[in-house]
Amino acid sequence: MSSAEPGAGDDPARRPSLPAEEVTDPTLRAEVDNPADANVPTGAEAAPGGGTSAADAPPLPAAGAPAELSSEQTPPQGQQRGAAGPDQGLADVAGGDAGSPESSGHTGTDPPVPAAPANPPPVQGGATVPEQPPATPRAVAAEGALARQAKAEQADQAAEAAAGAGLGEEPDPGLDQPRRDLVERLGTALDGGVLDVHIVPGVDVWVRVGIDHWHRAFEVCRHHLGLTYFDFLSAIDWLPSPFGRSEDTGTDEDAGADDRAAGPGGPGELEHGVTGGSTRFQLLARLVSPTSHLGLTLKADVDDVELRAPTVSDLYPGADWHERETWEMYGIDFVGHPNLVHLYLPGAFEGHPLRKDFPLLAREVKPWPGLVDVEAMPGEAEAASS
Amino acid sequence: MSMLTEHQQRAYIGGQAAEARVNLELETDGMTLNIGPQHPATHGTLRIITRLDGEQVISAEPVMGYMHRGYEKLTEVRTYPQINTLINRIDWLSSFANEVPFILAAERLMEIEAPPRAQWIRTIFFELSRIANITLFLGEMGVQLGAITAVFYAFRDREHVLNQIEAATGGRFHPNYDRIGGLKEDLPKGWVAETKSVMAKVRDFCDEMETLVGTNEIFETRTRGIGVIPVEVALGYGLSGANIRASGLDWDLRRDSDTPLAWKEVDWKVWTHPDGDSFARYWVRLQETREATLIVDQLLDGLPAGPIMAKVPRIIKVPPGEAWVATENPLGEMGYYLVSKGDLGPFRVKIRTPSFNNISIVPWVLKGVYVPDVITILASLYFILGDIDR
Repeated sequence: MSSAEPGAGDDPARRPSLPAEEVTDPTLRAEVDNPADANVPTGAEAAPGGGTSAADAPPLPAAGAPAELSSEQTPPQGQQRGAAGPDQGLADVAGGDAGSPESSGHTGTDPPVPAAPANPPPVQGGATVPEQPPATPRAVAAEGALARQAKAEQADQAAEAAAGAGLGEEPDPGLDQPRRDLVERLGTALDGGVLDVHIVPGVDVWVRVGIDHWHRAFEVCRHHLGLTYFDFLSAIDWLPSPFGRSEDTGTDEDAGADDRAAGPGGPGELEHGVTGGSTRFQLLARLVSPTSHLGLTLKADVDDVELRAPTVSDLYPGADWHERETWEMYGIDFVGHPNLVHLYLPGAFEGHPLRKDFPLLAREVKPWPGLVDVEAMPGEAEAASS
Repeated sequence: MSMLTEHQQRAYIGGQAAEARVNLELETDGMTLNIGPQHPATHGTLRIITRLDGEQVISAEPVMGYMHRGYEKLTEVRTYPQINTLINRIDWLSSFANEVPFILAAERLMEIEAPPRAQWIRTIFFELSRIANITLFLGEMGVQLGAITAVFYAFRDREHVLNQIEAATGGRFHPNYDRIGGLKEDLPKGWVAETKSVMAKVRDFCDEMETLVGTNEIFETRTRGIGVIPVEVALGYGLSGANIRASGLDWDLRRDSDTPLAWKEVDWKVWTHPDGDSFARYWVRLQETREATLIVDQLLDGLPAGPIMAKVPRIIKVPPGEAWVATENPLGEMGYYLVSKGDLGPFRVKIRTPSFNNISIVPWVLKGVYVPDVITILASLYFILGDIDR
């Protein structure tokens, strides 16, 4: 938004035209000389919402920081994002930024869910029903599609405001209400799409959704839950390594860690981590709110036969590369991805290296010389393994 | 007016024709400019294929993998202490900072907490890594824009910091100093006083950089308003660290996430800049380096006594579970998603590196910029190739 406004992109304007406002040096000089005053933001360099110190301020609430990137403080740009056609890029990402007048104006003019047309059909099944936070009347569902979208926007903002207010309070470490709320709202919006939830109070939260709800889950997180920061996306292959000890640490017998191979299932049985699972491959992604700093780890099982999932790169452009990596490392196809080509591996590479049944050749040829490190000292094996 | 000789006339006509041809060529089709993979301006072996229209970039596509070492696969065949050595090499300019989130993730699953003195020393070294890393950036940004002097200062003063790291850990670049449950060794005698004097030197260096580079008119001309990244876009791409703080977002995991490290014990400030351009990114990093020296000074003053190692089994086995720990590394948010099945080594480690996300915005941010600005923007985003390719 701010970047699109300074339209004067001709050549002279590329030079910084703010000789009078160059307070940078005096400010800094003052701060260097006088560190006690360093926390007072001054002049052109003082960021809105910036300048809180760790000791004297709790984590900021929403603060509307994004919208206050004012164009007065942005020098004229030679770069001209507007000319370069970034409007699309802006529209794609501006939607979920509620809580500030400028950005809500933005969302108003944009299609509320810009991603929708790009979605693969299966995901769209339940996607037209807008999220219903507790405060919103149920009657919305009866209205036409346009009105519904508008209402969803309002509900969205209301919910955002509510969340912002709620997050200002001190969280109860025993209950972890903020994370509970997050999960509850996601569950309401997905309408049965949430398969499992795992909360470690005060630390983290995992949610496993059905693969059909994968895209919708991201949409809800992005547009309604304020989790606008894309952290990562990857996958886990839950198959125990068929190479067993040769690829594992060789001295497990000494340490008494051979229980997996000796267990009732033996190698070959899938053991899933938190939030369980039912298939071999599981998608894993993490989204974070930049204002409340709450993060959410999303998981979804990928069908064993049809290794595919809808792309979320239309919602989070950063997912583009992560999905490319996951595709080449695990062979999971991302339907609707704009450019699903190799990221790291050479084009002719065969196989998917991060799958558990892809041998690590270096280890097949020669055992790991560092194994000696984990051998127990004489007489210490019992004490250590207990 | 003198008559043109026949020779001059022919030269004139030839010149006109050549110019017309050039114009025609520029109008009709663009040009593909390949930057890298060995271009000195690319911090390693990043390759960028740009499509140009005249001086403007129409599209830019980074090509990676020239340094892909498969760390995520390698971690699955190593024990936890061995992985510590491995992950030192991810972002090789701030190796110690790579170790910390991994160790913290393992400690969380093992339900071990390192003693306070270890946490404080960890924090000190974390910040020393930051200084060692970012000082190089502060000088190198100058080099990339054609000012060579700054980088010599940077290498000179980074050396002091590396010496301190070496004095305590034995490794200049790859300390391998962090351990599950604590640290390898305690600080050597006289280290605290020595480090304080180094911190003063680094602050002088920051002042020098501010005068030499930060307030240089040419530097400002080439960075102000170049490569502006609005905060919404930055969030969608997962930009972190100074890159997102330079877009005005007040978010620092040192302050805003719950780690056992000692940042909460000292008084410091999170710097942000509203502009989101290349200058802002430089400026924020410069301030953060100075702030880091203040953090180190305070930590050195308040360093608690006590053991540096918690009681841990001699053979490290991490109980089954999953943990995600991320810290505010010099380049941004670095995190490890650790899946353990109770073995000597992890079942799966997802390594989330800051540079990967920071560089994924390159196709977006380079669209429409001029060729010289490509280098400015890449330099200001600041990436380490090992941190992208893993």
